[in-house]
Amino acid sequence: MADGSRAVPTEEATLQPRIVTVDVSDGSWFTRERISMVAVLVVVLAVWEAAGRIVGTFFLPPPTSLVGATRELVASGDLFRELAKSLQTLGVGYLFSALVGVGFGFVFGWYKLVGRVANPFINALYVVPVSALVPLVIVWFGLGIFPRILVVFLFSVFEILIASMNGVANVDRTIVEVARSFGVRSQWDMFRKIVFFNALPFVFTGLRIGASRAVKGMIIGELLFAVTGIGGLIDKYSNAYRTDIVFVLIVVITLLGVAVNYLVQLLHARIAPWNQ
Amino acid sequence: MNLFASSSHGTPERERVERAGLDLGTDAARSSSLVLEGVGKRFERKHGRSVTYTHALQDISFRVAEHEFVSIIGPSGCGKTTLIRLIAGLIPHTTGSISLEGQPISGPGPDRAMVFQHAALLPWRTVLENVQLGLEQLRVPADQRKERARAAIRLVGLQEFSSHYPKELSGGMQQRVGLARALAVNPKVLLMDEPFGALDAITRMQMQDELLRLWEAERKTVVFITHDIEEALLISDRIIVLDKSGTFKAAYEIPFPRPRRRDELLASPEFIRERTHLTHML
Repeated sequence: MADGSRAVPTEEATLQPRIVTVDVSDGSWFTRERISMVAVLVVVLAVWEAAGRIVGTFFLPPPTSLVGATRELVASGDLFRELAKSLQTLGVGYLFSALVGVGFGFVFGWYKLVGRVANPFINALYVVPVSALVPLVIVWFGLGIFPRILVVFLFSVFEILIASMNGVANVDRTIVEVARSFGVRSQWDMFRKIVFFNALPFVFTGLRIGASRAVKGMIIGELLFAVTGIGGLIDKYSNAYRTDIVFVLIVVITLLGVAVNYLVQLLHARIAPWNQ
Repeated sequence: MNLFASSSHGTPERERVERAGLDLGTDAARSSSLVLEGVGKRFERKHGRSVTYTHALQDISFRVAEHEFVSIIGPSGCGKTTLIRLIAGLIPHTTGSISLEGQPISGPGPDRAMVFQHAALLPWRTVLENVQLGLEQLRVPADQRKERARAAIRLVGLQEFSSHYPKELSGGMQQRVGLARALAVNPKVLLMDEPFGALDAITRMQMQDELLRLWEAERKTVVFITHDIEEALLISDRIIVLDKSGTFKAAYEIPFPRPRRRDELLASPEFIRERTHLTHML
């Protein structure tokens, strides 16, 4: 077109409304992203399989050998019995750690003086390697469920506490001014209408990191207690030279971690949809 | 008054400016709404054993009549934003007095509503919820609150976006929400702190035109902070010029009749003359 640069919309041009919501889910699960992920997984499994067959199934059990191992583990009743115990420890420990972490984090973030006093102590406790405390925990509390819950708690609480504290303390000053200028006066209103919501994205970041650490705490606790849960099974089967079953257990732990993370993300999307 | 101690402009200009000025006897006899007398603001910063005082504003006096649109302009760092925050009651003034309809201002209040520099919406609230913020604090019942918020949103033309979150809106749309949030509480004075400063040139023009149209329909009392001379000339009734040292420099009545239209006004020789004059003053 000779005059293309000066083209103006013609009468017939059909304009779209400003906002159009269209259902783009064509029902197909096979998006480009998912196909790529599956492809990567297939390659990894293939390499693992080949490597396993070369170095020997004891050192690196190939994926195909894990099918039988899984069947054996399930059939013995070990997997679900011990998984239930592990989940119990994880659930209770993580729940406490979320309550305590968010609760104290909010208090330390909101009351600046308390926060400043607590901060060096929190930092000190945060850098203590919790695994080193496990033997002490056993000495103090024995081998029951409580000390295991405590280990999960200690592993995850600081991440949650520090994130929640930062979320409350680092509220955007302009937003506080907006709130004040529109009549938010009481500290309580400022907290429940502004600071709380401002902190939520931080809280969920803390909860997610905390969840991963809680799973690690659970396993480390169980390994060192060496009597129960998935960690206990790892101990039992590695002593029996069943590396294939140990691999299955590692896969189970991985799936558990992914699942917990996913649950926290679901909760995040539900409670703080603006932050997605 | 030493408004034009250093000015090189002619006498007719000077007369007009003085008429628009401070003396309470003349034009200010019309109902003044907002009165500032000798207002000053000093900031303190302690470091070690010494204290540094910054005199952000000194001896600012002016009146804003009801239904008047007053712009405050001045070079950056002259204390414009400090001044509007004093009027909003967000920070206390150190000297002088500020009163609105005879009532001294000692804190934020529903008689004043602010439109902030970068909209400053609450990210966790939808457009409709953002606009309701002030109404909630005024204890307006939920159904009326929604209705009034919707009306304000309609006024700025965002009814289709009521359930959007701020981050889903463009800068210009966010600032419209900021305006709706302020209009919803139906304040006596609308305070606008460089509301269009962060917008791109085209959006800024659209927003100015829209504000002009809205204001000419509603005639709210407005204090408008800007560093854009054209913007001030286009929209306001009067311009107050601050010196870079944070002192009053001049008050300046704008002669253009209303309703104003950008395309006619900006091309007129009068506009160009006024703009040149103000540019020299800054």
